[in-house]
Amino acid sequence: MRALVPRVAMIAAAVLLLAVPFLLHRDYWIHLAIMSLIYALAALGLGLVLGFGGQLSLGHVGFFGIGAYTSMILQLRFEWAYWATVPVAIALAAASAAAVGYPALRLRGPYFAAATLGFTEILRLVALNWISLTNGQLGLFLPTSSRSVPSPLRLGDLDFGPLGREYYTTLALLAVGVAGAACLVASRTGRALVAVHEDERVAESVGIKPVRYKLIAFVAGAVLNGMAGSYFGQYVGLVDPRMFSAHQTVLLLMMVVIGGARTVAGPVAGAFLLTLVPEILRINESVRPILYGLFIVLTINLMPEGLVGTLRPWIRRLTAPGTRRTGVGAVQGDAA
Amino acid sequence: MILFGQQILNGVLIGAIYALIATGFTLIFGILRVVNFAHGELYMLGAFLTYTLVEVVGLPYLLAGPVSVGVVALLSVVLLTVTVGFLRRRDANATVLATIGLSMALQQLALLVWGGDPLMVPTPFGEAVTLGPLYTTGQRLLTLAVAISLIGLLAWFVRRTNLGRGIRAVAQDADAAALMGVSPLRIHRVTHLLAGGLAAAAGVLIGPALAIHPGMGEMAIFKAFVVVILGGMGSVAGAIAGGFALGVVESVGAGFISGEYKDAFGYAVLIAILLLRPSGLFGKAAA
Repeated sequence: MRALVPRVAMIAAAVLLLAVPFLLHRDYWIHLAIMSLIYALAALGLGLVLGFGGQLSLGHVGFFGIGAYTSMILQLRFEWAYWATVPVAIALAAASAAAVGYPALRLRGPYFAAATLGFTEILRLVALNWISLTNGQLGLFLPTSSRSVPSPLRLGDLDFGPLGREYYTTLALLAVGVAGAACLVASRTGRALVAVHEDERVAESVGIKPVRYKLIAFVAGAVLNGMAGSYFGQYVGLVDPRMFSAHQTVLLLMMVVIGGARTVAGPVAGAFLLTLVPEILRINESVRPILYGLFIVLTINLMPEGLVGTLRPWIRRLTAPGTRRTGVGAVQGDAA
Repeated sequence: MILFGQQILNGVLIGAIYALIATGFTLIFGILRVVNFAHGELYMLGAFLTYTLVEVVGLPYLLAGPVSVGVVALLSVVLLTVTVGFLRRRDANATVLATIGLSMALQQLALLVWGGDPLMVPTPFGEAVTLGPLYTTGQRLLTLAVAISLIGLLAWFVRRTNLGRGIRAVAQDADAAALMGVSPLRIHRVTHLLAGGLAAAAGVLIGPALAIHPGMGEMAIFKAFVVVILGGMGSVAGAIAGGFALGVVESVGAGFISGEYKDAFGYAVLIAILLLRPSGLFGKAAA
């Protein structure tokens, strides 16, 4: 009974997502849906680090950028096919995450935030100044002909148009990401992570090595961000040093925090919310960061568990009256 | 050799600015255990407010400066109280996220009000001054003099006044201080006032020397981080020494190694120190 509501919600969300190209006939909306999916993948990655690992990483925008630049550079400078560049992009993002995370995860709270912020800033300066590789401030762009993603998906005779195909490719990527994240969270590793987040010393006393599990979350987050970044560059057709800006960092953090960091569904919901709502309300581009900033302050103060995290106990209470779960059971339930 | 001396002199002058910013930043961490990512925006607002008061209102620079410092100091109390004052679980992640949000909002607001083009604050002290073989400007000497006086004033305030003793008491042990009748809330407000004022003063002083733009606070907060980690989080003396040290290292590094990666040196130093001595060069072991 308890699992019914989330399961129904998940199936409904999946059906809705699959139907998007049939429901929305304007390319503009499908484009926004694709952007939401890409950001959802990135936010999901950061959610693993922030929500489950409890580490405020300001470096995951960096891994997103590494993924994007790697795919772009391999295609433009070495004439690789797009899908061949994806594993390299992900591997490079993961390798840099391991190299940065291994020492940095020994730091706590603000020190960790500062070290990861420094990492992102160094990447931005390299992207800006290593002009022979990155084309500096102008960034790298794909010629229009090779811009659309060559889709590996063949769905018989069904034709959704080029944008529809890209939509389903993105959706498939997100599905892989969500499945991977959900498996990680439900696994022994996921439980260890929650334990470390709840109380590092207690976790250590029962034989859980904090840095090791934090590193797993950190690298897993980087894998999702590298994947999202690589695809983002390919879909938009442009990567430039602004990808490493504080603005991007805040946007990604906000998706995670507003949606609910300690859930898998939260960052995905947050990504859709923050990509679609400003467009639907037609909020001026230059006003958006102000609202983002204010909303993050409000969320932290009023709703620290985010939308999904705040709504979940309510839904539980409605569906299972009388069975209030507290303690370890509730923690494990939150993780699923 | 003269070039080297010139780089050192430039470094000391920019180091004075870093020291002012970092002192407030470290003070807030020491007293409130809050890493204020919006601290750089107070510095930025100090510079832009002076610009508006001089260029639009027509006040003389020497009057516009103190007025800006006062306004930003008050603003700092209000903004920080609203942003982190009411947090229920004041853990590091929550306060960092909240102040990052505040920083982004203020930065974009400044972009809307003042535009993205670099601006210069007019100063009556613009003319060049020669010190033997070295060159500088009156404004830069003023910066150094004001920074040193402000830091001296702060030291006197914290050591000799009742409020200052309260600040030190709260920094040592907030609960014990509260039991002795020191109101933590009052001390928090005074700390925000001091920190905001020092950051704004840095902005007022830098405005005529370097072009000001809405992103300058973000750069400054990176620098403050490096400085404070050099000197140890929460240590005022460390922030001052670290500020001057970073200014000199950057200036000499830019002159002799590479100008483009000038800022990257700072971050590399930051990461290296964090990895080797996680509590700062002069800091005590983290609790």
